[in-house]
Amino acid sequence: MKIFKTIIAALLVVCALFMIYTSYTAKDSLPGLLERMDPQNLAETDSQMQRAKKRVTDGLMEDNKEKTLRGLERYLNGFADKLVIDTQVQYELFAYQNGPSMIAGGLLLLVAGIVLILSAYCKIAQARRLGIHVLLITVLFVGVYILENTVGANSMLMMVLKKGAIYALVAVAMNLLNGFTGLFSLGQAGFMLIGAYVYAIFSIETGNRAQVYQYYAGGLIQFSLPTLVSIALAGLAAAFFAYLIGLPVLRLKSDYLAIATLGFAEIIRAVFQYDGLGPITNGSNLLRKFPVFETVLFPFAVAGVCILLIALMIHSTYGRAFKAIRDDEIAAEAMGINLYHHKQMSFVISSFFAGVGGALLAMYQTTVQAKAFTAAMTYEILLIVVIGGMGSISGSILASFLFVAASEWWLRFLDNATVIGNFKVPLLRSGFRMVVFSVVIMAVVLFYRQGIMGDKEFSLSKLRDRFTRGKGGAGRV
Amino acid sequence: MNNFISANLPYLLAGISVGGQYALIAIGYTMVYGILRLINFAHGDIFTVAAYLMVYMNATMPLYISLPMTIILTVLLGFGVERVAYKPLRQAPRMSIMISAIGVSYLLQNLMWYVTGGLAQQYPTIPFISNTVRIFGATTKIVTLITPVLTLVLVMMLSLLIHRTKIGLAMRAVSRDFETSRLMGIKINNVISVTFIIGSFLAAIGSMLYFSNYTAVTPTAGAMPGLKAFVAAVFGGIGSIPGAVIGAFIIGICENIIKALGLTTFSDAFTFALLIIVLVFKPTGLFGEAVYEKV
Amino acid sequence: MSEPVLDLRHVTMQFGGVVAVDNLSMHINREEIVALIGPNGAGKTTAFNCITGVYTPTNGQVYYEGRLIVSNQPQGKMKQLYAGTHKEFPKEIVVNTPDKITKLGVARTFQNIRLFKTQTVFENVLIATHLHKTSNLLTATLRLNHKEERQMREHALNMLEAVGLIDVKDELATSLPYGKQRRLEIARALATNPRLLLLDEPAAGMNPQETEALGQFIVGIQKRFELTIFLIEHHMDLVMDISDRIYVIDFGRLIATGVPEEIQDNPDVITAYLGVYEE
Repeated sequence: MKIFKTIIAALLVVCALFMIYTSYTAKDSLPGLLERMDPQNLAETDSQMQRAKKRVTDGLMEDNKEKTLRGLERYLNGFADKLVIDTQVQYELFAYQNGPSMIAGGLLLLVAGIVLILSAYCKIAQARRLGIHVLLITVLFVGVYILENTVGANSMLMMVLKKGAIYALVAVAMNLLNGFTGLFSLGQAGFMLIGAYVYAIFSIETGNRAQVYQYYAGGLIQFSLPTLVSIALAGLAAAFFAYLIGLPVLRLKSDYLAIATLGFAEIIRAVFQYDGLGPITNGSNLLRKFPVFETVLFPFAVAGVCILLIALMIHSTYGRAFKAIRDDEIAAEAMGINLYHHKQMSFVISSFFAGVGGALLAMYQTTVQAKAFTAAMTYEILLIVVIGGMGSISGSILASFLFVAASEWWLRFLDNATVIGNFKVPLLRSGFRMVVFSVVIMAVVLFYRQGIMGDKEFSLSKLRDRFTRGKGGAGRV
Repeated sequence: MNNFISANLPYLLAGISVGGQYALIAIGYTMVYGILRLINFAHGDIFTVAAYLMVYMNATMPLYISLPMTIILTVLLGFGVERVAYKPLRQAPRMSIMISAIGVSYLLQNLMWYVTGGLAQQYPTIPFISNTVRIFGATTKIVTLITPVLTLVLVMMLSLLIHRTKIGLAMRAVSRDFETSRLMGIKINNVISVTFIIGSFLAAIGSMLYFSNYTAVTPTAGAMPGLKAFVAAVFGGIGSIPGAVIGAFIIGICENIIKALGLTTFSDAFTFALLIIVLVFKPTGLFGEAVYEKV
Repeated sequence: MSEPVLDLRHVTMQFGGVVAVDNLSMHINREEIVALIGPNGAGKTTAFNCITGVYTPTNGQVYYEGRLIVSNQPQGKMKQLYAGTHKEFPKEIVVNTPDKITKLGVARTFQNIRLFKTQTVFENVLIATHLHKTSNLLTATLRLNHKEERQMREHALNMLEAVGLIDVKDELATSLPYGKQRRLEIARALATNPRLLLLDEPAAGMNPQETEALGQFIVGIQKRFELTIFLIEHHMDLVMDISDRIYVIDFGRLIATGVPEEIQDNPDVITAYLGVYEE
């Protein structure tokens, strides 16, 4: 068995290295490839073909990949009958055309090989489990990356994936507070607003500031910070405000927290639109021209790291203390847990990640305006948390993608008046989607209160148990 | 002097008037909270629905039918919401029922958006109360003068109901101790229904007075007055009706003073700042009582 | 002479007009088992709550191991309303939250069992080890505290071992039978490493056999962990069996104190429990 695994792993690694190597060298080998496709040099005699071929080589000379690709496609389509394309050539062409995806795929195989070796030789169960998780994450990222390169970065699917990842982060952050610590807070939109603004304010390039802050003489801030620094700053700013709000409010009963945070979000919204702060916030005008997503992998990576940190924290001794507070405040206090400090911790951390989520949302939307961060946004996120299951991180993630996909994509048709033959489908017109959507949500809240996951987590070992032992095998992990 | 009055009186009058309208909404919040310990997030939307009902009914019916019909339908809506969205969750954790309230609010807003196509609708002029009058050189609508009077009359009637009738006694008992009242044979569900009916009734009247001052209704128009009314209820001490009324007048007047000072942007923010300040210095509100939790 | 572990001085707790605990003074010496008894509603649990910081007494002081942990005098409206019999007010005001008092070494159980409902037996005990952590949020999140974490888990397992619940450690706490839930509460309290353990009606709802076993168990853990134990209990057999001394309160007032034999024959105690015929 061990030998078998080793052989497969070795094969995978060789394959991976080969794939990565060929895609790296594909550019250099393209001129040679062109010669091999046309062994009799037919291009010399056919002027059309020569022009097509030249377009490819021109692209190569200018180091313009897009141009080369376009040229190559036309060349291949137009003169397929004259070209000699064997499997070797086909493979190398493919490697050139899908370079990044090939490298990603190679990386995947490489990781798979390493994990396989790990599972064969490493005795520590934790390391093996970690390996499998790393593999899964690589699969996810490579999959998304290849998808992005094939269906296009601006397709509906990519939009949903981007927004879904952002909402997943924000929902998990809210779940930390509402689901794990039992604090009913409704300030999420406010903290996201702070995050979005802080990110935008600090990351707009200096050269663009005059244009963005055209009503405020180019604005007050005349420097710009790198994207990641701005995102971290966005989180810190949100956390700072949460700390201030928490000072008075977290000592009170939970209901007051709900209304105070809701109120706080409203105050923040008004303050950021205030004309007097215009040189910083641009008043009620849009903020724009800040760095935005170049690839869907960015929100995935940032949200992924943040969610991982939250998950690690929830499974640490502090997370256990949060859950104790949720289950019974008085007993938790009798166990030596300082209610105020732990609530404050949970609140500040949740807000930090809400701020980061806000920054990502700004990048996704490419513009920011305070008036979009309404209580309705908070409600949406809260409902995502409920649908996913209060107290389940994987539930929140799953529900976020479902929610975004349903509201932005799958249910879009409900908003369009549709006529089939002579029959006009009743009810379908602008706004119907949201009605259907809210009815579904109410149904979940009323009849399916546990949500998708309840307070359980998605876990591979449980899934495996279910497959191997049939029903009823799943124990608590 | 005369100038000063005529310049500032409208703001004061508007404050008192808006305060009365907030009071009518705030009573609904405070009564529901007193009995169910639930922040009824949908209350502000019921208030908005009442406005739309008035808009649509008035387009087809004469005022003397549309006015009572609006009130009846609003009351039915409040009653229905409680039965459908809150009653099944009686045994659930309190957070669930608040989430359900948020869900209802979301649903009502989306429904209003769908029906109206998201466009602002012209609120009908109700004869007499929409007429303008002049007092001390200031011009204002009659509704401004009527609101505080009507509010006080309604509050007095409500207070009679609560202190002099059997159902009022039951309500007081339930708000003291839910479980014991149930054991004593009080029909909890009836009490809760009556609470929602009264709340919606007052919200419907509040809605007529409020929107007579504004010309247009939008699906989210009720969200902000709803929130402010809730703040008023907390300010006065949640669960206390006189507290809610006084809190509402204070907030209404303060808000208009802020507007008079030219800080309109902050008039909403001010309300919430006030809330946070009150919570810090007197968490139980003006008239609230401290509660000891049994260990 | 060593100082008492717990020393209450004139503790009075008044809710509105009701005086629940009135001028209660008492002390408990090291490694004693002391019982607090009295009819229902006599103010026993309120006394516990005053010691553990759940309530701040209206008046009076509590010393733990010679250290003042609670001290209060009537304030605000209570100055006029105060109806306690002891009218001398301490000058200092010391208010400690329950978590601080637990950290000092006073643990408790609850009359109406308060386990963490969504957690397993093991997790319930594990939570109680949180207060002695040295890790901060960051080190705990990044798993830099794995040594400490392992110690916490071992400690929790030892406590479960001590109360005999090790074989049900992965079950949901609330799925246990009543008697085991009470033991779990004790295990959880023990996991905070207390020197003084307050037990609020540990035998409530148990049959005579279970009660006897519980008595032996309490004596056992007292010896094993060198604890001082203060308990509220209604089962007189248990109280007489295991207590070194007994305090009796009625309507918030101390009516008798002494070793079990003295209490058994005390006419005031008999009156308080059985009432008197009035002709």
